[in-house]
Amino acid sequence: MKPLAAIVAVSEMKPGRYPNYNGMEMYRQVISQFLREWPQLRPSDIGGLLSAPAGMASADGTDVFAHEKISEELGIEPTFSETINAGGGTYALMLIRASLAIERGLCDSVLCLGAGRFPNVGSGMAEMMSKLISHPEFEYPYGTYIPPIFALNATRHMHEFGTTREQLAQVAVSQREWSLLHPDALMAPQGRLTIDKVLSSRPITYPFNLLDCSVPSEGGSAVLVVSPKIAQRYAKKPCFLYGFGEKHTHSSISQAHDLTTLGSRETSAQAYRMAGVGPKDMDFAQLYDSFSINPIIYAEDLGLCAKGQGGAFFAGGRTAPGGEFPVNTYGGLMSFGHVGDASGQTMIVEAARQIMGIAGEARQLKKADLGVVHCYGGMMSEHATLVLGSAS
Amino acid sequence: MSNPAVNPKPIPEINAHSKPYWDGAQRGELMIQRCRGTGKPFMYARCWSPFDFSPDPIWEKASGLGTVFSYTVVYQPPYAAFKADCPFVMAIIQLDEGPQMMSNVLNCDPESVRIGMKVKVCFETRSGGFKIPQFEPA
Repeated sequence: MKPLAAIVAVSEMKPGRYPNYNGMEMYRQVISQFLREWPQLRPSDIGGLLSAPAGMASADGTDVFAHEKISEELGIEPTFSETINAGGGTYALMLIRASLAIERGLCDSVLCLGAGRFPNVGSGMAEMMSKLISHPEFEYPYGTYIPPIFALNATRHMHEFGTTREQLAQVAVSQREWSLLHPDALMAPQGRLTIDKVLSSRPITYPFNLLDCSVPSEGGSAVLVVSPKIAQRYAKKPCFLYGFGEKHTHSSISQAHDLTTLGSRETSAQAYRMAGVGPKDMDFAQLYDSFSINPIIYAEDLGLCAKGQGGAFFAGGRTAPGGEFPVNTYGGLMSFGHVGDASGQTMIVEAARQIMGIAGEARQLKKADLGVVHCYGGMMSEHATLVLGSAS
Repeated sequence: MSNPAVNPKPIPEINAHSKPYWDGAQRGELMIQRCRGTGKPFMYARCWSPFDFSPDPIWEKASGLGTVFSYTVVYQPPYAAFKADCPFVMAIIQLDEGPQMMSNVLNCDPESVRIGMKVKVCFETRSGGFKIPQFEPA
C-alpha cells in the first residue's frame, strides 16, 4: 500500500458549551490545546492551513476568512490555505485536499482545524438553520429541521428492509458503552443505556426518540497532516492515509435519488480501490452518526455487511467494546458529543489515535492496523470515505 | 390546522424563476417543469434543465396525484410557528409524473400515514392569504 499522507499529531477539546467564546476564540482554544499537547511543534512545521468557517451557524456570524486570521496569529505564511465547508464532511475533504497539495509539492504539511458551535434554539436561529439545511423555498415552508429529515431515511429503511426500532436503539446503546471508556465523552456521566431506555425516551420525530439523536455541543480539534516522507520526524507510529473517495449527491433531501443507498457506496468503493484493500481488511470503522439510522446505512454502503443487514450488524452489541467489529470507538456523535460542524474531525482524531496507539489503555484496540472513516455533510449529501492505517 | 387568518407558519421568499410555481399555487394548481430537450419532468423550479441544460423549461399543471415515498411524524416542533400543528407529518411525495417534493400530509390522523399511501394535492392558506401546495389522502 502506498501512503498518500500521514497524520502525525492530533488534539481535541472536551465537548461542552462554551458561551464565552465566539467562533474565532474557539479556534484559539483548539490551537492552544494542540500546542500544549505537541510542544515540539514550531511555526516552520506548518506549511499549509485549512479551516472551516469560524462560528458557522451561530449567532455571532460566519467568518469565511478564518484561515488567514489564524495563519497570521500562528505567525505562518502558508503556501496552501483556504476556508472550506462541506458540513460534517469538511474534515475528510481537508485530509483529501491536504494529501493532494502535499503530493503536488505545494507544501510538506497542512494543519487542519475545526471549531464547531451549535446554535441555541430561539431568536430566529431555528428558522435560519431550517433555511440552511433544507431548500429555503420548497422545503422550509413545511417545517423542516434536521431530525425529521434524517427520520425520512430511517422510515424508508424500515420499510424496505424491515429494520426495527430496537435495532436503531442498539446503535445508541453500543456507542454509549464506548463513551464510558473516553475521559472527555459528554454522555459518559449518564451511564449505560438499554434498548428500553432508548425506546422510552421522549419521542422527537418517528422513529427517533431523544436517545436516537446525537447530543448538540461545542468543541473542536486539530490534525497535522504531513508528507509520508517526513512523517517519522514527527511520530514513531504515524497514521497513514491510503485511500479516499468523495461524492456530492444532492442538497435537498427530497431531491436525493435514494434514501437508503447513499453516495457512501461509491466513495467507499473508490477509497478501498485506491488503497488496494476491501471492507474485510478493516479492523474498525468510524461512521458519522447524527442519528441512530446513519451508522446502519453506512455499515451497508461501506460493505461491512450486506445491503439491508445494517440493523442486524449492530444487534447484540457486535460493535460495542469486546464485540466482533468495533464501530465509533469514542462513543460517536451520539455519546461523545456532536461538536457542531467540527464533529467530522472527531472521528478522524479517534481513528488516528487508534492507529497511532495513543487512544489510552481503556479503549485502545488490540488490533488497529487498518480502519475506515466515513463522514457526510449536509443532509447525507456530501460524502467522503478515508482508509487509514499504520505503516504497511 | 390553525386558523388561516393567523397562520404563523412561514411563506417562501419567491424568486423570479420560481414565480410561475407560486402563481399556480395561488390559482389552486400544482405546477411542474418539463425539459424541452428530453421531455422529462422535474422539481423544483430551475432556470435550465438538469438533464441536458436546455434553457427555459416548460411550465405545466401536474396531475396533483402522488404517493408517500417516506414520512415522519414530528412530535417536537422545529420552532413556535409549528407548535399548534404537532404532531404533524413531514413527507417526501412522489408525484405520479415521477419527480419528488417535500410536503406535509394534512387532513388525516398523522399516525395513520404510511409509505405507499395515495395522496392528492390540496392547498394550505397562510398569512396574507398565501397558498402553499400540500397533500392529503386521496
